[in-house]
Amino acid sequence: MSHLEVPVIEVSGLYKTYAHGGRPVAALRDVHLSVAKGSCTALMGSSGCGKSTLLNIIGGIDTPSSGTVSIHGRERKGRNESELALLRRREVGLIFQFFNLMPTMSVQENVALPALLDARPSGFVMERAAWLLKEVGLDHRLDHMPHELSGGEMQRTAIARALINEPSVILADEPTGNLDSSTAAHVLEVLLDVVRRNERTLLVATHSHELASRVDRVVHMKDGAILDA
Amino acid sequence: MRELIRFVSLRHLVRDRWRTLLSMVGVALGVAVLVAIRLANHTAFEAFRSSVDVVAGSADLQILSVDGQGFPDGLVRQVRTARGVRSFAPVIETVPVTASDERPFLLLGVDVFSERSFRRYTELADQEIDLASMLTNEGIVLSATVAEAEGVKRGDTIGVVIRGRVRQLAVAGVVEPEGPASAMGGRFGVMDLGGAQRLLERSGTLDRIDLSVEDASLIPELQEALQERLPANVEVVRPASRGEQTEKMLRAFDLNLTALAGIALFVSMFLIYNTVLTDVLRRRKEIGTLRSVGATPVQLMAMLLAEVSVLAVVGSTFGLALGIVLAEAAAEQVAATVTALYVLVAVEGVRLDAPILLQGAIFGFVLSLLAAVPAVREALQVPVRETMHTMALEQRLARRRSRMIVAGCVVLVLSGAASLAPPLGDTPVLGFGSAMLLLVGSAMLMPAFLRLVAGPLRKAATRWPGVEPRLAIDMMTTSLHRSAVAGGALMVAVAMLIGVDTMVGSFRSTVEVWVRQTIRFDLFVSLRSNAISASSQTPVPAEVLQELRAWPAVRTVDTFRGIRIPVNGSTTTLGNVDILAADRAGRLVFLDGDRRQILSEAESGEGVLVSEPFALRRGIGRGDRVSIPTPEGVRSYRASGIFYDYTSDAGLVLMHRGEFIRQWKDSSVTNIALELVDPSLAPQVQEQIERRFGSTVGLLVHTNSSLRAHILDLFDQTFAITYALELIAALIAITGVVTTLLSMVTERQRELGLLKAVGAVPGQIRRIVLYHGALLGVVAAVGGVVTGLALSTILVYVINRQSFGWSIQFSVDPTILVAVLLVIPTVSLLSALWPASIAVGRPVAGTVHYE
Ligand SMILES: Nc1ncnc2c1ncn2[C@@H]1O[C@H](COP(=O)(O)OP(=O)(O)OP(=O)(O)O)[C@@H](O)[C@H]1O
Ligand SMILES: [Mg+2]
Repeated sequence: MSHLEVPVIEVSGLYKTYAHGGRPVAALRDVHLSVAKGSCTALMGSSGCGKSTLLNIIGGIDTPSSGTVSIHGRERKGRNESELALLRRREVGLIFQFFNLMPTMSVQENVALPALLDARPSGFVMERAAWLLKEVGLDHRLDHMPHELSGGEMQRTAIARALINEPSVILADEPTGNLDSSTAAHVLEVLLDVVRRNERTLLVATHSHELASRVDRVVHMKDGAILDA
Repeated sequence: MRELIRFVSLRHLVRDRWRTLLSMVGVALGVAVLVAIRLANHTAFEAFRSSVDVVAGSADLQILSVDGQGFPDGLVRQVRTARGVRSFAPVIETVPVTASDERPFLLLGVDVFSERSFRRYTELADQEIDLASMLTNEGIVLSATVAEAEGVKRGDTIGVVIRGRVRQLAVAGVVEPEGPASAMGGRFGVMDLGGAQRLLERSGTLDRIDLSVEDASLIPELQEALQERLPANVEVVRPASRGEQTEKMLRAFDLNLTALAGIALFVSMFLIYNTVLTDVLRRRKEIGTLRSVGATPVQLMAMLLAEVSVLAVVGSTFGLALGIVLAEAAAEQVAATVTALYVLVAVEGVRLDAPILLQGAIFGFVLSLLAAVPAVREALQVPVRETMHTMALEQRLARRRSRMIVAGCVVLVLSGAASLAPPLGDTPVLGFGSAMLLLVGSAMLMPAFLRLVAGPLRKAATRWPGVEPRLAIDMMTTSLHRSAVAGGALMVAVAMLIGVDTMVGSFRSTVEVWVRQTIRFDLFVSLRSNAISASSQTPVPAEVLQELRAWPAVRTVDTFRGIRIPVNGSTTTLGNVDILAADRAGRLVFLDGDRRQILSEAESGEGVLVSEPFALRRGIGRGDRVSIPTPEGVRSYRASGIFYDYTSDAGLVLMHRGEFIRQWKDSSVTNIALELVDPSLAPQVQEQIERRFGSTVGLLVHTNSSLRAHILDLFDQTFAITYALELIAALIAITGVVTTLLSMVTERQRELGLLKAVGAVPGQIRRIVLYHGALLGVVAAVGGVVTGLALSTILVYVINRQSFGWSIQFSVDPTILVAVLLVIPTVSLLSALWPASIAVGRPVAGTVHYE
């Protein structure tokens, strides 16, 4: 393994079962996955195959029924809600398909939010947010409110936010799923560009073959399991 | 239509069971206090009225002395011969206390033979009544209530304090506490007339003659004929009208308490409004769907109001039940106050009254619906196609903010105008209106106020460490309207608290100053049995006064004698004092006028001095004339001076002692004040007095400081119940804060979820909700302090002045302002704990993923 292939995310034996109206629904079944540092990986598969569930568990916003998840070799087990929150804040950056921004905060504040939650000095944080917004091409929108943005601009804001605390891992759940194709292409461009220039690790769930063709690796899922691990 | 209601409505009440429950609690508490206060007052008044009624027995008319001093029994002859009189019964009446526990009971002295046609006791007796003992031995027949409390039975003796002295009376029989014996809560005794007259040292005197007529249609005629024939100091009345008189005296007291309770109910309306608004907001999709398939606004309105009705009915029903329970406690409190200030009443359990209960229920129900209507209308005015985000409605409401500000200001101006209006009759109707408009108007300004503080506050918050304050402010501004309603409710409760407490505080310090000014002598002597009620005015035995005058330790003696008498038509206390001694004792502080002239005019007997409440409430100025019924007929006196007095809102008229003795031929006194040669010896002299007279006369001796303390205690007791009302109003408002925050954390779950997703720890989520609560508390406290101070000026200068005639020196106690500014935000913050823990407990996954 070259140093580029040091795994950052390691998932093994992961199960997630939802109790749906008394009947258990297996969303993830014995998932094994390792993602190399600095790589861009796409998760693909039909709707309901468990992509979001997997990302949520890796990102610490959901808990596994069994199995292990580690980032940088640090095990997830036994972490309480606060520790999970700190993980989300510092070690991963999350991008969702819908509802990514706080409607009451300006674009710049939204980007700064994870750092502000971390009680970093506000002046420094706002400056860095402005710099990141320039990175994603939104330096003219700092004081705008989210509802004044287009869908693509919203997602670019979310991308900038995901980077504010310099997490090593970016998890994106269908970041372009809600956008028209030309906007999607632009957002994708920005995402990959920013991730690569900042040497982050990206794991992205998507239905887009366009996206899949531009990443280092594509992982296919079906019925809660990984096909080509 | 019925289908619509069945299918759509009730599920929501169940789904949001906590919020539903809390709103019901709000309504229930509001209804409960109103019902409790009204029932308690009703109970106290009824207790008095029925005591009068049962004692009147089957009398159609009663002849009474207007001054409560009785009349010669020779009057019987004039009555007997009047045309239409079928039978009559002479009565002498007093309220002594038992020697063992000093509890009062009503004692009648009756003519055993003529009594039969009015009141019957023999049927109520367990054993035959010992008539011989009654007629020859001053034997007493007791109600079982008194007999049991004293542990005595027929043939025993009972110690009774009469004219300050303990007398042992033979128990001639025990009767069930029914009929006449149920008077005063069953504390009743009856003796033979002659024995009672001897015992009371009032031989030849009657307090009452009960009459029954041959034909009920003759009553008015007979009443008029008798009134003409009899002297001016007796009146002929129907028994029922006696209760009315008292009720009139108590009306201001009743109205003020009821108004306070009304504020609590008003606060609960905010809660209903917010609950319903939140509900329609949450169901906007469903409402939109129903409208798109053709449900008319009227149908939807009916559907939503039907739902509110369920809440209102359940809330009001619980409110009635709770009200009855609370009335139990309140009735004792009210009775104690009424007894201390006005007339002796003994309550035994709450008297339920269908109209009061019905009124309470209707108020709760109708007000709930009224509060819900604007909320429902908001939801229905949104165009069907508009995909209604929660914020859309908040924004619509925001657009109307300027209109709201104008309306609020107009309401406040109206409040100011109403406060300047004179009373209607003797009730400050417009004064209450002014107070109500003040509360409504300032609540209407609440959204603007919130907006006003939110802007700068958020700016300031960007400079604070931590992003939570900023997020809390955002959370408040995005739900500004409902935050303002919750804050407004809390503000109203705080305003009530500050307003009433400032009024009471101002009043108290005014009384304190007055007490310090006017209570200057060293020792104060009266009968212990008089301490029970303002209406007990038994004189101190003459030899006590005589002896004390001669004591070498005593420098000056000031005396007071009060009788209750109708002056210019309604009952007041006529006191006689030695004008110069009273002046020396510091008793008299005049509003205006030349002091020497006032005093000399009063001393000459041409004039009387009237207290400020007397002057104010009856519109009497210095130099006007007052009519006083003396035993020789009604005489007119000049009101030479008006003095400050805080002992009775029924008023006090002071007459020079010499003039009183001339008119009434009665030199007895009820209160003695002593100035000592050496004031530092007061405790020793107090002990000497008690030692000298204690074994024979039940005297109450106050030192200067203990009398002052006693007066202030009485004052505090009077207002004790208002604190309970304030507390309940605050409780309702806090319930409103809780429900508002509960709906907030539900509506904002996606934002809160997003915050968690990007790394907010549970403590931060909790803090956001807590800060929101605290912020509401701070704004409500600040608004409430301002509004409360305005309210207190209305209470002091308008309502209290018009209701009771007190002039109160307005003073603000900064400690309560500071306390409110600290406590209310803290309580509001604590009330956010539960909503906060719900916000924390929601799982992150799911809240952020879906549109
Ligand atoms: N909270 C939940 N309760 C019950 N079942 C759930 C829950 N969340 C997800 N599931 C189920 O788990 C399975 C996986 O869902 P998941 O959202 O991970 O799929 P996905 O691959 O992200 O689909 P899509 O491409 O549509 O986003 C689905 O069958 C879904 O119904
Ligand atoms: Mg998904």
